[in-house]
Amino acid sequence: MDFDTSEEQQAVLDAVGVLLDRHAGPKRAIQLARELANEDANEDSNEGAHEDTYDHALDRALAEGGFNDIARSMSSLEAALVTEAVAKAGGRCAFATAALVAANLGDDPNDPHDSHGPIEGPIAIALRSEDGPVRFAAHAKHLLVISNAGNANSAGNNGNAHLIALEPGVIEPVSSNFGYPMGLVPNAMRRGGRALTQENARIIDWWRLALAAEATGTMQSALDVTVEYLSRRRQFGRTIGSFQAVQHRLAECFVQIEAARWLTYECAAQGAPREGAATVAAHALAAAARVFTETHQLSGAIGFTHEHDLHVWSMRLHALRTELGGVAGHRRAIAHSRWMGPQR
Amino acid sequence: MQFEWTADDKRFREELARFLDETLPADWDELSKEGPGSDAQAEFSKVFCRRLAERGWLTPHWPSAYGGRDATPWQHAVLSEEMWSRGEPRGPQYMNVNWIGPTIMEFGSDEQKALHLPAISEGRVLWCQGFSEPEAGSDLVALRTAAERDGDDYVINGTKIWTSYANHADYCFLLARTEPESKRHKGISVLLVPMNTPGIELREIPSVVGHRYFHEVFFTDARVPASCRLGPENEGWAVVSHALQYERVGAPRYARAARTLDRLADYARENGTLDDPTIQEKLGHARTMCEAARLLSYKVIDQRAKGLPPSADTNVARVAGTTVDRAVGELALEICGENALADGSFADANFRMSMTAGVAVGATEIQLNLIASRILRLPKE
Amino acid sequence: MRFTFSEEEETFRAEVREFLEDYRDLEGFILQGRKFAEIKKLFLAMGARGWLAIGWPKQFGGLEKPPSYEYILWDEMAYARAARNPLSAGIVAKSIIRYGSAAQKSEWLDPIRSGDLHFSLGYSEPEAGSDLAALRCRADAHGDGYRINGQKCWQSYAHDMDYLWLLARTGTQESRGRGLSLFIVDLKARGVTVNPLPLMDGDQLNEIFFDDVDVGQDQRVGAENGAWSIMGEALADERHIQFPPGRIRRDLEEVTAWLRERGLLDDPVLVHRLADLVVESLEVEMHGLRVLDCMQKKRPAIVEAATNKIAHTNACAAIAQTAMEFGAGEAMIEGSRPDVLWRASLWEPIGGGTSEVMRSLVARRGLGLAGKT
Repeated sequence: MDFDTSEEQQAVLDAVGVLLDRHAGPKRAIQLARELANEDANEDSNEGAHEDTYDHALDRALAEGGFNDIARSMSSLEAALVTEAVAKAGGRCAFATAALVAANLGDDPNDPHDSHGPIEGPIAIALRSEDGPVRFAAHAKHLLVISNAGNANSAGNNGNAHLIALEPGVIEPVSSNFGYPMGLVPNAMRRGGRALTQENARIIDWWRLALAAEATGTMQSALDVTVEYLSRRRQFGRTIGSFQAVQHRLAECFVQIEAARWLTYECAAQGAPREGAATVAAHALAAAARVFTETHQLSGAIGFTHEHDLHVWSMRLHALRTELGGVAGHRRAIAHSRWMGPQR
Repeated sequence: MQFEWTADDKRFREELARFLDETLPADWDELSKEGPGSDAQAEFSKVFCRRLAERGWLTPHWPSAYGGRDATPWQHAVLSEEMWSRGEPRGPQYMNVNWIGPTIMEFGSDEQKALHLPAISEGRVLWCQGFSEPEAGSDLVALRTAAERDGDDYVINGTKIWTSYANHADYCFLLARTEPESKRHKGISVLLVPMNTPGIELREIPSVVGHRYFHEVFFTDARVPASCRLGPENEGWAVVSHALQYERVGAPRYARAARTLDRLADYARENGTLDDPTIQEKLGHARTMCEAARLLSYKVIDQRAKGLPPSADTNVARVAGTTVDRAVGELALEICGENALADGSFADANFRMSMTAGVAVGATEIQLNLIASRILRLPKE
Repeated sequence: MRFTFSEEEETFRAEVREFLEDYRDLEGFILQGRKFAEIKKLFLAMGARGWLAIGWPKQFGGLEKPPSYEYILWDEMAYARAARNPLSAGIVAKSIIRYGSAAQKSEWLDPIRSGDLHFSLGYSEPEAGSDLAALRCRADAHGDGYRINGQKCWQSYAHDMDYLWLLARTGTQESRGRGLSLFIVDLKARGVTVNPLPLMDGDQLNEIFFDDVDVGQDQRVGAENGAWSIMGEALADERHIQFPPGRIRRDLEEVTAWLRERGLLDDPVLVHRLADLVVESLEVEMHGLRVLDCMQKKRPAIVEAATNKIAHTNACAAIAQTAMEFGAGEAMIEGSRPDVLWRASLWEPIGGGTSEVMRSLVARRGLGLAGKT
């Protein structure tokens, strides 16, 4: 056991930190979101304007920096660390899917090196059974379709995942308040594609881990910006952040986030085992709701405005929560895996 | 960063588990329901701890100079987890081995070491902790119990409260004010007081938690020799702070909670409710809390293993640990339904055991205060 | 103890429901900021029936009905999602009735009663949110009247309204709540600038700047420096209609129907959650009636109203949260029902006195816990 980052890990984090300072951050996220608003207001503007709402520059920089492949060149733990960092910086691109899901599509689930060869990104990921908006789908080159046979909890092999190549423009962007560019992917568009050798259930494990890593970084920034604001905001002749009732709620959020972080790291280091992946997703995404509620409630009106950065992270938390069956589904998956598995 | 147990640690855990399987009596579940402070468990601990000691497993984390095996903090954690997940067969003695003994090693005279350490490491003695008072709970430094110097003796007057195990204890690790009129952290000393000292009286405080769980301990002109003092006079707060460092990980409540959850799942399976998705969701939710608390505790152990000073991560781990303890206690009532209402049922016992979580050993609110100030750096008023 | 309304009250409720049939699709309760033109038509129709002045004394053109009528009216309005009770006929009119001069009464009450004139609430400032007594916007004596300088923010709907019910400082900064006065300010007056504060959900609040805005003595309502008690009394007048349970009832019905349409109700976890919410909404109903009961008996309802607000806004959030959580991807689409309800729930525990301020009130006034010693 060792909870400190190794020198190699620190070097990776430093490198991605430099890149994120240059290419990401709340201002960039707000600017990209505004592009979307402008496009709404100005519908007959030049075709493909929505391209701008996805951070292609960041996506490219991460790919060129070798970060997409870090699960193979180092391990999934480093991939989780970087995913968290990208989310913390408000990165608006499909890095988590590339680094933690696509990188683990090996023939042999125990061997991430045995892969299908590189899949051109951005990659969006969706459940076959659903019928709604999908993060990043309007900008993706590939859609990874996972069948959960109507039940994200089913254990054992439940068939293989499929990969669908997307022509530009086939997926329509859809307007959303939840911080990510989204595309509407009707159920009919989730059919066909190339069958991968990786089974669905295994990909769901990695997907759960990816969601948890994203949620962790996102929650941390939401808390940071709230703590910073409440440390200077004064009412009733004192700093709001000095009220014990306020401090306790922020401290509770911190406990939740900290647990999400270490559960994520451990799960990544262990290669996203089924129960562990369901556990970390269930924990992190439950914490996400609490962090959203508390950060907004304690920030008051300013938290809802574009002038304050909180929304860059807070709204995303709810998008992460709705993916892949939601918290109740993740929790039930724990029960299935731990107490109802075939070993019983 | 890595999250693997070493082969040694794994082997140690397996050996411990095997030993527990072999050693715990058939009626252990029944016996352990009332928690480490019950008469039955305190008695049993004397037999059990001796057997542990024979194998060197009562104090493996102690230095070899004091009969230990210099085991790592990680192995100490394995020991604690295995014990708590079985309902703590060491009874009150977990306190002795975890922090009372090590504190005596640090501050004790040769005489004190010779008297107390073998007794502890051989499992022969029970201790209680005399900290809280009626007017000094969360605010411990408000304590008033006085130990007045009289020649070579101290004469103790005052009241301690919420003292677990006092009815079984041979000694009390007592905090008292040795400098009259002193305030807060100053003027406090630690005394190692034999519980058979004349002038000490007990009152059991009936409670919903369990029989003989809480006590009030009255000191009326109780006279002990000055040689009972641990560490320098009036510098007791430093001794306690040091002692609390050993306690920084705290009891692995999550290990017991995880075991309880597994048994609740068994119960649900046997009663045909495990297929109910709402039950699955609740069990899964509680399991996330166990795992959260486990990792947050590991982070503290990691710091301890590296010899780092205590940090507010301890408080984080404690909040998570008490949260899961309470949540699982409540879930037990829910899953067992009306069967939980029978006095002494599995669920009833678990719920009552969990009730003091987050109240004892520094209320959750105090932990949150410390997280707010030390980690989040929120302003003081 | 009685938990039903009288026959006469129920008859009135039926009348309100029938009236609201024509406004089924208005959605003015949630989207008030975007639909004011249509909502104003509804208010004019209500004004024609005397309903905006249903509780006012007869001498000012009111129907002088007991608070239960206002309660039923605004509860049904909330359930129908037609509109929220307007500030003009409530806080503004009731304050003018109590403290206004004869001239003010004759100038303002008629157009308010008819639904023609509308007000925005000008209390909050950047540095005075929960702590209103800290506000800095000044009204200084100037000529025969006052000259106003300063800033307000977080004003809902100010862009659609005619006048501002302005709370400004006429005393020293140190005088806190004892140095404040109330003014009626024309939002189109020279020196008034209304800027939108865009919100993350695409809606907006406003900030309002005053740059040497001159108002006459006749625009001050009540005594100079006497605003604090006027505000308190006005607030007390409105306690039973501020958070009508009909909103919660409707939210839950809608969310349940929406989830049912999508075939999601065979998920037992969701069904349990909805059952919890049914219980919660009934609790809210009881809190609402408890406030009304106090009002009917002319008892103070400070604690009851604070409790009601906490319970109401918690339920509102929990219902919307459930739709979001179980509604999967569709909830992410802007304008989907879960998206709309959820965003509408966010402001509730903050606007009109935050839950934290309400909890402090309950602790101090209700439980008798001491303030700082």
